[in-house]
Amino acid sequence: MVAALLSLRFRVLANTLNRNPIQLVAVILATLQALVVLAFVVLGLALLVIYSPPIQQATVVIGGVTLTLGWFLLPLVATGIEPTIDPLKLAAFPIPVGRLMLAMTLVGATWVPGIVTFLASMATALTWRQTPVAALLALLCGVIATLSCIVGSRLAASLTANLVAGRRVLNRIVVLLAGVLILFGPVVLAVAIGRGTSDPFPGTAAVLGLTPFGAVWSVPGEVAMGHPGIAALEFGIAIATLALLVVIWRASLLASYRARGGGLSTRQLSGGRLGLFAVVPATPAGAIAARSLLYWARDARFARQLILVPLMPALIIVLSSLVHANGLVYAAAPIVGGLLPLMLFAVISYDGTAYALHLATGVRGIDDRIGRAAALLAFALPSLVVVAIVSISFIGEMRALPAVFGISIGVLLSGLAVTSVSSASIVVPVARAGRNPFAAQPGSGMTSVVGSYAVTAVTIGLAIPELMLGIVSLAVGSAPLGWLALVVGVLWGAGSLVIGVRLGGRILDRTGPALLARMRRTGG
Amino acid sequence: MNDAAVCSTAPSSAALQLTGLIKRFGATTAVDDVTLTVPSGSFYGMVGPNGAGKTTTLSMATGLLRPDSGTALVHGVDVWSDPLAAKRLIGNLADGVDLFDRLTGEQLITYTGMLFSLDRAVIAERTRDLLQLLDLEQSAGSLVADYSAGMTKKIALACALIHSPRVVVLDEPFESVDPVSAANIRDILEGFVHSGGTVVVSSHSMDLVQRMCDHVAIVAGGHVLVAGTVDEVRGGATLEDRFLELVGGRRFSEGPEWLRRS
Repeated sequence: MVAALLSLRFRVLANTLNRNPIQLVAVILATLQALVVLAFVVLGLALLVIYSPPIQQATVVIGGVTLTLGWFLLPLVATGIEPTIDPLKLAAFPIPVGRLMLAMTLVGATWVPGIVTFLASMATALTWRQTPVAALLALLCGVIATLSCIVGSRLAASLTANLVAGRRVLNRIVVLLAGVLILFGPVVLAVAIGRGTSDPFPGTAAVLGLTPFGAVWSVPGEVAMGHPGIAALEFGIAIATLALLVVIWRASLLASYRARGGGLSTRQLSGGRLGLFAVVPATPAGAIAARSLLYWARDARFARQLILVPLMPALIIVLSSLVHANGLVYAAAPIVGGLLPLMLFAVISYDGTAYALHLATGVRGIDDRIGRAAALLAFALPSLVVVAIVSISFIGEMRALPAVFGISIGVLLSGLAVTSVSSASIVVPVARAGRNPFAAQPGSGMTSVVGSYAVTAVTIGLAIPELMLGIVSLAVGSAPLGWLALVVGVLWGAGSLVIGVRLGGRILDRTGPALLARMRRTGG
Repeated sequence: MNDAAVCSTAPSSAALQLTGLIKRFGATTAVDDVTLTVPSGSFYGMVGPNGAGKTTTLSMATGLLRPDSGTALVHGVDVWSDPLAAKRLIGNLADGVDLFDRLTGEQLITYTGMLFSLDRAVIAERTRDLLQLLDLEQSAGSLVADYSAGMTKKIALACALIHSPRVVVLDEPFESVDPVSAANIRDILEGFVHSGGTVVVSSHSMDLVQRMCDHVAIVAGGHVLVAGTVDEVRGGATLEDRFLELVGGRRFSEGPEWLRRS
């Protein structure tokens, strides 16, 4: 049965790629990229042998923890990053949950991210090759680490799906953030303790080694450094962590089976509350803006992406204090400014076939573009202001605010200009509204990745004027240049946006029916 | 094979004039040279087996799907060269598409009205009327996602009527609608036709079409097999008999042995 599920998955993948050559190219490019990264990692791990054991240990452990946490967070920030089997679709078949879990783990292990993780984990043996016992242990721990990564990401996906599958999602996002804190709490603690020691880097690693996600990476190093007792303890922690992950995953899968089909609210509500629709101008663009805003709040697929707004700055602030690079916090607001419009790069995909209404009513492309852009700006601009002020207040360089505002707003507006054009001709397979927002859509991950790269590249190109001015202003500490960056960012960005909206609108007028036809075919 | 001209109404009075519509999906031709005249003020039924091309044809007639060739005119306005003007004349209930179901029923109708650039006061008044007419007042404030299949059809119908169209095109409007609501919808549509509007429905239900419509077209394999008034088409027999005779594919078998229980 496990073999049947595995072959089913590869059949789905092959059929998807067969039908869409661009996705095939995307898969190949992404695979090449992964291989390049892998080559560097393996080379680095092999060269690490020239450093002292504490440094080796710290590098392996901190790298390993980063990798593991990456796997946990992957399902939160990217839809369907790997083609896989959706447990809920298989719910109709009598498959024991244990077999299903095994199949899902194998599916994870037999696709690019899983294979790369496995090979990288194995390569830690190269670091410890001077101590054969440690090298052998590194191979064993590598297997455990890979399994923990895959099981962890499945668990994260399953848990979060259960959490946000409902309709009123914003309050549940808070719960989700609490979960993220549980993940990162030990790391922050380790960093805090490590910074207090005489040697922060190995000090942090030593504490991390005793946390659930660091233990498995720490075992071989402790053996090599002659601490078998600590190594044994950490090995125990690693095994217990994996076992615990499996148990919670199983419970979560069973819970999601039970939750399926239920949860429909039966209460009846009479009308009279138009909400945002009563506030916006009574025009097609106003209607689309109001509808988009409601979807950002009510649709789990959008709300899920909003997690990034607080998460990215938090990560950047932690990172900057970890590596003592204050300058990093300047990047927080611009990165959020770039990520927010990126979510719209194929925004019509999220309408799915409901987009037929826009075609049936004859909405002009430009109204569609204006409405969606206005909705994003309505919350993106305030978010950027808050993120910029909060992140910069961490280093107390308030003089840098105009430059950071300039870059952030410029990047936001340029990004919106680019996605106004891109989303007029790109649709990717996404989960339908109300379905599990984490259910992988075969092949979409790669298209999304390549599409996002292209959008990012063009956005950066468009934002060069304010980027240059802002960066120079930050580098030399020039306030006038900062204000100039702000003026240029707003004006130039607004200009790009006007052009992007017009161009995108004209393209959408032409491509609308084709987009709908494509979404109907993919059953979206 | 093209009997579409049985009904010889002059093109100027045609509510919907489809000429030579062709749509291919890869190697398959879903709609192969469909020509059809829907007279103004008629209640027009379109019947055909699954995969006959009904939905594809109606999508091309209402501006949802661009035809490979051919034209679609609504009261003389070309749907594909003047889409804005044409779509103001059409009320469209498409089959097999989702709704923006994170909106409440009332919000969805309002949204549709706003997309048609209607005045806010007009939208409010018509929304109230439509909700009452379709017996949806009790659930106007619930999310459409929480509606039953029948209620979803009804709210989609309300959206199709909000801009007071002259031609209403309904793809499978009675699917999964309960008998009471179906009767109500039929009353609404008949009233609409009496007041001079035109209704085009596609359906699987021969009985329904025979009782409800005054014109009918039988479509199969992307072709119009026959079209005209219901009496002309059925020629004395029931519409269902005529349909089976034309479309074929009826099998006289009791199914495999293992499916028989006694």
